[in-house]
Amino acid sequence: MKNVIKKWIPLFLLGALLLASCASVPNVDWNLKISGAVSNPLEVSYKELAKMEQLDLSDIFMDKSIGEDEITAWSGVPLADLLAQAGAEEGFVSITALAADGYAIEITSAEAEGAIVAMQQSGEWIAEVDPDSGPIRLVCPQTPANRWVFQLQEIQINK
Amino acid sequence: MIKNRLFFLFIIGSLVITGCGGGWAYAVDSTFQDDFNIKAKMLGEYAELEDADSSCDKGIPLEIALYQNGIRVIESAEIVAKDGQTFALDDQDFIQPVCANEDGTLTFGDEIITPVTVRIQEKEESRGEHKIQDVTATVSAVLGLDMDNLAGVPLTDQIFEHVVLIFLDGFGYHTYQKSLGLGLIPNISSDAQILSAVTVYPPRTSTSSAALMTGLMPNDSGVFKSGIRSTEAPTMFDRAAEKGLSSIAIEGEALAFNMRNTQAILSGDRDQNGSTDDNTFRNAMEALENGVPHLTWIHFHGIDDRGHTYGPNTDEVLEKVAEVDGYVGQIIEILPSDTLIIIFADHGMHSIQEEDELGNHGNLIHADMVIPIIIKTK
Repeated sequence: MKNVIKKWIPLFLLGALLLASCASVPNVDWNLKISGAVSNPLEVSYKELAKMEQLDLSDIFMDKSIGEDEITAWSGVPLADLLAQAGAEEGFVSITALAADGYAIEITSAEAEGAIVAMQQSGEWIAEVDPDSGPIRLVCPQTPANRWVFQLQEIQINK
Repeated sequence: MIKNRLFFLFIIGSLVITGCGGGWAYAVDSTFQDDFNIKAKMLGEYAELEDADSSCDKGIPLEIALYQNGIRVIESAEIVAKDGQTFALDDQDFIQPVCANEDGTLTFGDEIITPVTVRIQEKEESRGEHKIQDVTATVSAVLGLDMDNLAGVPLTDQIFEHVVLIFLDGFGYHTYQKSLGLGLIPNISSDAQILSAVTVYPPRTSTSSAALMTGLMPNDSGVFKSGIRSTEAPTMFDRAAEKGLSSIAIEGEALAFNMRNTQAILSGDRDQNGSTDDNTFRNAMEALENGVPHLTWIHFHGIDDRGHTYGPNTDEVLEKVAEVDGYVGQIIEILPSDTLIIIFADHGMHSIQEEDELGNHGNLIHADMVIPIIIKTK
């Protein structure tokens, strides 16, 4: 009996660890659409985004129009990966990022280079630490921070 | 014995009042406004109106309290201190800004003083009858929209089938006057009724856009500082949609303010020439050639962009003004008869000396607060 318990303990611990890591993703009901000049329009949930490969951006200068500029760290899904998955037309000229509150901004493809759909800021989920700005935010290191659309809901590709 | 107790209570009461920072007040008299007092408790009430980038660490910019009590444009001020000294401030001093501190002192430049009286000299034209919300009231009257409690008044009693609003960001009244004097704006200024009007405080695109779209003062629209990009109050687009009227909004690369119940078209710098005005112009022409809606909103951002970079009324700004005047001329040319065209700004611009910026706006001064409203018909 003792041997059986000993065998199960590592498996139990591994399972607990896996559960803990899953549980660390906030339970958020949110979808992101990728539309426009794409061959495979996408709609991915917050959980699906969290499962995709994440890119860490550190020492990112946040040029703010309101308040003090900051050096920040973000983590999220590379925009390029999402656009590739959606089959964005080659040579597209810009993207339009639309927020849930009705805000919208157009960003040229050059400005969008290196952008991520951020899920975490400084190692913490945006959804938990800054729900008004979350749960996901477009972070475009090439542009001032007033163009990093929060409450990001849709990205349209413009050709 | 009783006297001793009362004296003790008096001392305790005084200590409590002093400890709470309460009890102080100073008088404000102004050219056109009834005198009023700025009191300790007001600063707490006005704290939420302060912009995040305000540099008043121990209070709020004095101009917030002045605006909330009816002052519209500061020309100059004279401050009488408790020790009898007087200080003369011009409108540029308010850019620093002048801070009204929680302990009842005022800070400006290197001075910290306890004021007794603040005398504000206002610009005469700011007390005129025209306000930025007159644009909204005109749209409402002309198109028969059900907009209530507007802060402005209609500028015409005629009815038109179409209204085209041409929004020149950062084109303050002094820039208008300079451009007119140099002959740079024949399309904007010809055959037009030209008015000077006062915008809302803080004079920034989001607050002014909310005032334009709702016709309300900032406290009523809920958009009283930078960073608020939505309003619960009904907008002219909401009211037009309720009436079954068509509308379109052609913006630059970003919405200056959230727009609902209209077709918003963004005009990013797709040709990457450093300006969105040519893109906005092309989108406007394309949209209008497909049919002119009842209500059209066209927002050119370039004058403001150049004003921030090069400073107000510089050659670079005036070059942009002339370019935009050309666009306005071509837009007006394709409009049908029975169209009212209103050209206006959201705010002006004052000079600053920063490393990467030579112009800014956001203060209760003439350069920022006074705008043109230009009315034309087709």
